[in-house]
Amino acid sequence: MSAQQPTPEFQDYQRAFTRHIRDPKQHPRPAGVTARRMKVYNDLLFNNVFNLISSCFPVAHSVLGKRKWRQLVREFFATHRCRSPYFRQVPEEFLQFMQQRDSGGREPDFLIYLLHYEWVELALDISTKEIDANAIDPTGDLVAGRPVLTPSHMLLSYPYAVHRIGKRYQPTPAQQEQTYLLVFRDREDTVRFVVLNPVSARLLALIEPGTLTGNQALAQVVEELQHPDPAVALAGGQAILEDLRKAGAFLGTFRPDRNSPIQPA
Amino acid sequence: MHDSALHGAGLGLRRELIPALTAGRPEVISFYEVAPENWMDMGGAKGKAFRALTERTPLVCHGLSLSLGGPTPLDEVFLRKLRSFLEAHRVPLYTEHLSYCSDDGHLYDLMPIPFTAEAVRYVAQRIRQTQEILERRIAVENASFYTKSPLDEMSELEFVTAVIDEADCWLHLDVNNVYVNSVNHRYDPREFLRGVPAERVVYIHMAGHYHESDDLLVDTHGAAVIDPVWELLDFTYQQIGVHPTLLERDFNIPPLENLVPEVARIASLQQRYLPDSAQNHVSTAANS
Repeated sequence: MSAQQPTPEFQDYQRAFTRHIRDPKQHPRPAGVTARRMKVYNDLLFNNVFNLISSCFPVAHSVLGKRKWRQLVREFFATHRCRSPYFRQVPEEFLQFMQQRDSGGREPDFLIYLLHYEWVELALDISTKEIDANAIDPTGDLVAGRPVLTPSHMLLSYPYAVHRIGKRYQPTPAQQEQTYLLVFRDREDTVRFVVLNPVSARLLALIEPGTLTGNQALAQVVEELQHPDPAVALAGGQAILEDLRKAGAFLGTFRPDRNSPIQPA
Repeated sequence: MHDSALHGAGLGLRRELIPALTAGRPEVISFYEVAPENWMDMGGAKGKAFRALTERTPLVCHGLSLSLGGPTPLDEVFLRKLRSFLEAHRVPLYTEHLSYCSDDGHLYDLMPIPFTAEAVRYVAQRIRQTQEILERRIAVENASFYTKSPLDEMSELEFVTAVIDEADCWLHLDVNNVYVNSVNHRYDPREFLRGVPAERVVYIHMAGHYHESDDLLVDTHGAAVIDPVWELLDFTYQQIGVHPTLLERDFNIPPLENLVPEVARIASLQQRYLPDSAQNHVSTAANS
């Protein structure tokens, strides 16, 4: 259809149909459609989106309570325009909507962080990042070599202890606690969460790009901390790296003269 | 490697069924079907299990998100990704719904296109565009619907037939949808089936639905197939011929062993209407 032509009549009807489904309080159903039949569509479409979103955010759902949660999803359904053709990305669309929305203090300050934290598990569960196994020595020395994090991972920091939030723990802005997490999908494809202290978080952030050896990263952390006993700090750091290898976060070390082996699928 | 020719009875591949199907595919299941949108760009354990299953068994793709009747341009980026997916899994048949599921954004469920001549031209052109991008002929499914538009200029059957004719595509005949629509819109399902352009049919769906009231059935795919729909499948095979036929089950998914008898019932009906004991092969556009 060229821009000059009027919209076909059947499309005007389709637009009226979806406007009503998105926001039945603001937009009446199209003329000539019976209320009972229209309601089938109102219920099917909203409930489908509601269930797709709610299953990804069980903690946020329970913290806000049924009524408030339903209102939020309603607002999303009425005003947001989803771009993704994939049903599994509806939670991400909801997260983006919430991040862009001015809450005006109607919901807890921690909510967008909690939503992000809950979404990360889904995102890593189905992440398609692959790594060239030939580029990695699984038994490589994590201190002498350049450690490789499993490709499906995220290093996260939140101003709240998002992993503890629930019905019984709902921190106010005065109760902010900077919280660092490593979330990764292990060799058995299970998504795991590790809470990091600030030093480990800094160490992993230095290692993540794959350009520094464990030793170089540790030395930089020790220098930044101006640690009184560098030998103790280095030994501690080495233990952290080995623990994370056991947990499945490190695949090993890059074999020499390999760069940037992470490729999108 | 598997034969890309499609035949027999199939089962909708849902995540819940993957462990049981990975342990062993019952012989009566000749193929699987998925919504490609649920498996494109899927990694992790789910992606691995999916690839392992489809390497051994033919896979039909039945789309959800293309919105053939939608008001905004077709998503060509999505269509090109879809083409790669269909090629990667050697999918012999791709079908979509004769409906729309979006306005300026996706709405993730199917809504009815008004049955007007203008809509026929519009949708047929979009099907042609889809076929050009995918470089294959597609089939479109007669969709279930609950509201009649006051703009309608023709019957559902006339609309479906006109679109298929003008788009030069195949018909994916959903027998349960014929039944659901015949109750919801008070027509004779056998008369509908007698009017279907039989030479265009390549694929058939069977499913259960939700009985909301005697004059309103909802196409949920959440229950066993009811007897009147089995009788309609029998009638379809008599009138139109035997085609690869899938059992859809998308909600209240029971253990695999409870679905296998329904797939077996499809297969035994097919045997009854085949001219000889040879399986009916429908060679589709896998390699075109």
